[in-house]
Amino acid sequence: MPSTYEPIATTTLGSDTTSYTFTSIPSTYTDLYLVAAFATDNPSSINLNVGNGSIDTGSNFSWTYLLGNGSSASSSRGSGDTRIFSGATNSSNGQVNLLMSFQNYSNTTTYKTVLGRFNDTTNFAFTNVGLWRNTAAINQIRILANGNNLKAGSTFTLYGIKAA
Amino acid sequence: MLNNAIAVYAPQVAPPTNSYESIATVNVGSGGVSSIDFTSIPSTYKHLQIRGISKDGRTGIWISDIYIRFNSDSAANYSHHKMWGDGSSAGADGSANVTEINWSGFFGTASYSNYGAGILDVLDYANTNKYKTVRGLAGVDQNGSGRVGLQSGNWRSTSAITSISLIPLVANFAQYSSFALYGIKG
Repeated sequence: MPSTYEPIATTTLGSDTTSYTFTSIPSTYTDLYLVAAFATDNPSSINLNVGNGSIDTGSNFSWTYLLGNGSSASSSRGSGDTRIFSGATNSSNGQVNLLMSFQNYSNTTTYKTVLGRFNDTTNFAFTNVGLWRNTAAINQIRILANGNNLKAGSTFTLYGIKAA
Repeated sequence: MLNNAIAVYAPQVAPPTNSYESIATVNVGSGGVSSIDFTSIPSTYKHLQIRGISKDGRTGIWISDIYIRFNSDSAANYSHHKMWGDGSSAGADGSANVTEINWSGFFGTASYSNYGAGILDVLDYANTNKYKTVRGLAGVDQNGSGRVGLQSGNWRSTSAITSISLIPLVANFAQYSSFALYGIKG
């Protein structure tokens, strides 16, 4: 039976960098799943962008999140934004993970909805939903440490999930 | 064995090839459907996962729920809890002895161009010694409104799950809603 869940691309950063981008993502899967284990050189917001042919830097994103910080739960949202806010690191060099599911990413009829989990034991447990207001297929995904760097040694893996 | 266990309890790790298999997919056509039913589910997997996008056909309401039932059981044999964030506050609730599991905060509606998304795990579904537990993640964002939530649910039956019904809270699943059922080997 053909593989249903398979790695598309993976990387381990050799040096500190502000962002990492997956490009040329094939349209042959149903969903994409991003797994990232990383650190930043300073406390930083983690932003997600997607695009078709190039990363969309316009105000075409929005997001809603839920987080728990060990003493309380809270929620916030952003609309007409240039990114999907996907978490925040609270320390320098502390390991965190980010898991993002891009449902029906290559569907050219619907806007694109993303579900995420972000975990930083020094900060919060976090889940979010994001929207890219574009019916184009996603073939690029960027993770960015806002104003800071993703540390060398950070790993990013993209999986494709194929429905029958 | 260990790699398969990791693939289930830490789904961020890719399972070995062919341990995660597609069982069935439903794509809703024009006119919509009143429910989506996965039937004749084989007992040969360890866990199940449903992944999908959806909205219902109503206008003016941006969020709704999906009911989940197993093996056509519509009796008060279910319970569930959920927590959510709506962009301004966090909330939580739960219900016991109800007639379905409520997979909440999952829908967009026809007034908008986007669909809610969700992932549901049905754990140890074929085990005839246990009640059945599910966990879910779902959300919809409408660029100025939205909801994201985590859910857990229980079906008080030791029967192996052979069918799963997804039922909109109100109205029908709209065209282009899509759900896929996957089996995970243990």
